Amino acid sequence: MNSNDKLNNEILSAYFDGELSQTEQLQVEQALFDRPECLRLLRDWAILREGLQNTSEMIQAQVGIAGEQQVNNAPNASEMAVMSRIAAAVAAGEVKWAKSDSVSVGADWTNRVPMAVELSAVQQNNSKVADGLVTPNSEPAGVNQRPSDYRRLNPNQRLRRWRWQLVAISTAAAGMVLVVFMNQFGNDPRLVGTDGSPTQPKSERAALEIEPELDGRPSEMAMASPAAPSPAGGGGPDGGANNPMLSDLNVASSTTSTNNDPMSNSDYTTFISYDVADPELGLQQMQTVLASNKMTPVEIFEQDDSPVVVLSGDAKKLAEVLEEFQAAGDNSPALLAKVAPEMDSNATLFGAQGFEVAAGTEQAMDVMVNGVDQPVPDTQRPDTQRMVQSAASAQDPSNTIVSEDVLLAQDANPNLGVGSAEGNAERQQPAGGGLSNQSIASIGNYRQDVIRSQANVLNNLMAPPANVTIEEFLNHQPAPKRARVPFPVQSGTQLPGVEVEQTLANQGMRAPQLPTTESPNVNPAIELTPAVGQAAKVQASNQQAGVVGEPGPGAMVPAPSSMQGQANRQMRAQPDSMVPSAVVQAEEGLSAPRPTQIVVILRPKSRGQQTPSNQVP
Amino acid sequence: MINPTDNDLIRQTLAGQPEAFEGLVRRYQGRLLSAMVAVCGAVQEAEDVVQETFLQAYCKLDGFRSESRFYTWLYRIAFNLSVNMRRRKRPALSADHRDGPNQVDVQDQTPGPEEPLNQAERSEMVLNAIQRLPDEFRQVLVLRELEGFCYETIAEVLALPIGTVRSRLHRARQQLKDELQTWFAD
Repeated sequence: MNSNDKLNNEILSAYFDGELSQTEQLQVEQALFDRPECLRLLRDWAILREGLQNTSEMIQAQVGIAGEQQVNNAPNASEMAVMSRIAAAVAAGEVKWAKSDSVSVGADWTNRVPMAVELSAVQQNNSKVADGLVTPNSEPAGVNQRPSDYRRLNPNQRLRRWRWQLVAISTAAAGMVLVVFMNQFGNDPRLVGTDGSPTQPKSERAALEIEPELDGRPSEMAMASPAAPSPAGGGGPDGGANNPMLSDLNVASSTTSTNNDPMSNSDYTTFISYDVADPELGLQQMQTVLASNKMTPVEIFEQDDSPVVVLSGDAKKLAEVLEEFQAAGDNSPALLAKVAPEMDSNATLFGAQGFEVAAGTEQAMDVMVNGVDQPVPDTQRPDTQRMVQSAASAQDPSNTIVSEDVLLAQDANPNLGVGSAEGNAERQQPAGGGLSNQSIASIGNYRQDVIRSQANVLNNLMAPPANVTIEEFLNHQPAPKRARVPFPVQSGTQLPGVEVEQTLANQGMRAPQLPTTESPNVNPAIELTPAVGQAAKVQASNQQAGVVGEPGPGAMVPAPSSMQGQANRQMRAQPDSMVPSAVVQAEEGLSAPRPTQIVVILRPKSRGQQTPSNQVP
Repeated sequence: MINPTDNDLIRQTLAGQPEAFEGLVRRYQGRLLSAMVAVCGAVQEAEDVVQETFLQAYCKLDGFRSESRFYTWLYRIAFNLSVNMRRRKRPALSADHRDGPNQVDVQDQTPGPEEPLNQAERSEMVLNAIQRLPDEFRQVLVLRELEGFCYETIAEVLALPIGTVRSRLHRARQQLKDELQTWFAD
């Protein structure tokens, strides 16, 4: 008998047992006509089966286990023996899951009434077991009886052998998906509702998180303290190297990423504008001062005939450099002209930091933001206050947040609505119509820096007294960490998971300052908090009283009762002084101050000079 | 509960009602014993195997997963025990029994060719022939022909692929047929 015959006989055996599929059965039946020896084999097996069935009956008769005799009868000796052994095992503690007293030792099983287990149940089980079985004393399936079940050898059924492995793999895959899901949503407090369920699908979230990167740099709205550790932790698949939105969510990515952009390495940018008679001389003087201090500017470029020097480094060192530069200017009055801050709340904000901000700073910002190289009426100016408001709103989750790009798009086209696609398309158009591409790129850079700077200013808006030195100001760091606020957000929406109190406490006050009179372009959805209006009124009163640029202690916005945290404690302990962050960090045992970035704008005096009434006495 | 399922009885047993396990013993003891008699060839040995099977099943009942059927789990325990028992007893056998039906207490009452075989005698012959089969052939043959299990259940009990079951069953039949050649000579 060769292997082919053996295989055929195996199939014939399966056919005899009725374990073939219908196709295989038809093939075997076709072969039976061609091979009469197969019919003889089937007949021999049928004889064997009959003998085996008789043997089974004989065995059952021998051991006395005829089925019908057990129904509702007393337990037989074998059954009692089994239960007695079980009782002994339980008593001996061999059964770990059973209590030792659950089965009494030496229980009289013979006197117990057995459970009414009908043999029909046994027969049902047997019928299941014998599914497809040729009944005893019947003819072989291949001879006179068709098999009752042809499913047995179906390939699909063979897969059932691997069902547990498949279940294990599926479970592992589901676990991995869950982990990925948790990494995506679990660490983002914005996306988790009060009941723990995500509030936004990922697609919507992604749409919200995609912010324009002007000139490859993230906007200030998205870059809130990238070096600050986030309590959320976690990491994202994007790495977070250049994605500003991920800088908050993915601390590990942001802290370990290598960002070669010196601007973004600093989390604190301050704008200082000097009106100089000769910008070139001013730039030379600045370079001389830097060289004498062995400092190298991050970047020097010219923006609308105004040299711009970007400095980055230790705050103390930068303060020394600036003071030296200022002293040099003082020694040369023709070189440096200091003027009073502008008579608006925004300039007051700058002045509130203890600086003397040159008049026209905001106008220079206008130029940088809009690319309009000439003074524009207030009604047409890019609403810096609105940018301040948007930046400030980013720090106050109770406000309705409008994205920066939407605001900028509205600048270009006031008719655009918030969040419209048209506005987004409009945003792509360069705003500076008459400027070169390089200038536009620089504008793109500084458009964000302006907002960043103003956000920092707002962040430090604590109305300090006038005796705050430049070093103290530069050492004063913004709030180290805040929960990011998504935008746009419906007005009055309570953001679960956003630590409002902590944010406010870190800011040291209720909300950023905003004027009570808004620009016509201001998005009406932006809500002003009472504290904002209060602060603005205080500033206005100070200005009317002749206190220019440096609001007194009365301008301190009272902290809300719910304010907690570090800054709040400092505010209460020293309400009339701004505590430098270096001191705070020293008290808190924190690390040294982070690098500070300063953008020095040397504006031609002729452009920025204002009326003498605005000059600082 | 007049007709509780296996899982019901298992749950009741695990819940602290050992009499529920008695229902399982009552339900499967007879079939298991007859199978073990065919496998072991001796009633006494089969009874020992069955008792040990139920004892082990009770001890490990908390580890039973309802994913498989209880009787397949029970049969697997019984077959493993029977194999182990036969392995333990085999070295103690005398040399006289090694070539013959070493586990069957039933005397060889095979009549001579001149006497017709009655049914009991034929059953005795079959039982002796079964005992001469290798363990792996005997198991599949008993499960299929005496217990009436389908290939899938046999594969589940013996933890074998279905193809192996089919192959072993075919070879078991062929070998049993060779053992009982006198039948077919008649």
